[in-house]
Amino acid sequence: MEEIEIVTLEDGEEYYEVARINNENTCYIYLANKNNPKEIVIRKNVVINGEEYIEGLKDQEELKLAINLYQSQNK
Amino acid sequence: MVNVEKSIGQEPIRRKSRKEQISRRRKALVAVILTSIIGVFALGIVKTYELATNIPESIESMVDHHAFTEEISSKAYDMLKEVSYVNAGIQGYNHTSLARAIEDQGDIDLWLYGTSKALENYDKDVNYNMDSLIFQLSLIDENFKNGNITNFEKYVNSLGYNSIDEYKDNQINILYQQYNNLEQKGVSK
Repeated sequence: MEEIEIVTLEDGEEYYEVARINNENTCYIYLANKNNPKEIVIRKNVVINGEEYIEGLKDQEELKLAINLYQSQNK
Repeated sequence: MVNVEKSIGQEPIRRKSRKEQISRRRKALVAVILTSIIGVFALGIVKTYELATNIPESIESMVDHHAFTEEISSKAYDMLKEVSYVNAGIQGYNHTSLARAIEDQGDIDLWLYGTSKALENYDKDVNYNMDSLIFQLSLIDENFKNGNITNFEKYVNSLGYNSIDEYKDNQINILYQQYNNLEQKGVSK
């Protein structure tokens, strides 16, 4: 058995945190829906006043960046 | 697939998380799914951007070249764009076993992947079917100019279709058939 982090998003659904990539002070997290792992959500993990928050990406460009980062690390 | 709506634009929410024990196999499986989905999606998203730039320009020049009447011109443009995307998807589907596997799972990313694969054969294959459709549209346009047709919807009704959408579906089915025939003859890859 292995341990995995599970986060709950605003839709009330639980997601496995499958990967985490740090890039220039930004931490991207790659989430797979626990009930349907084919649904992937990419977000940022941010720290505000010492508390951890999960934030959406800014736009399509940032989504492409996050995808490229994942690909380059998993070739 | 990557859920774009859930990925972009959300306000920060307080992280609520917990740890759970899962089997090593399940964890590995989820990681494989993530990698494969992101790979297909990334390829699709990049190539779709290229399609969005290249194909409409190409169609626009074809429509301009035929000097369609204004009424048919906009419809021709929309229809050609739609059919070219579908056609591109079909070719991607036919050329890759990966896309087949995705389609078996009913995943929309098939089309993204398909369009990207089809770009590799765009000049050779897509134009073949585009020419066929252009010819059909030329006939329709001719009838517009002659005054035989005054309303596109009525025209497709006269052909036995209940709506323009039904007509388009039929055109798409014809393209499927054309492509399958080409493949059987070994004309295409």
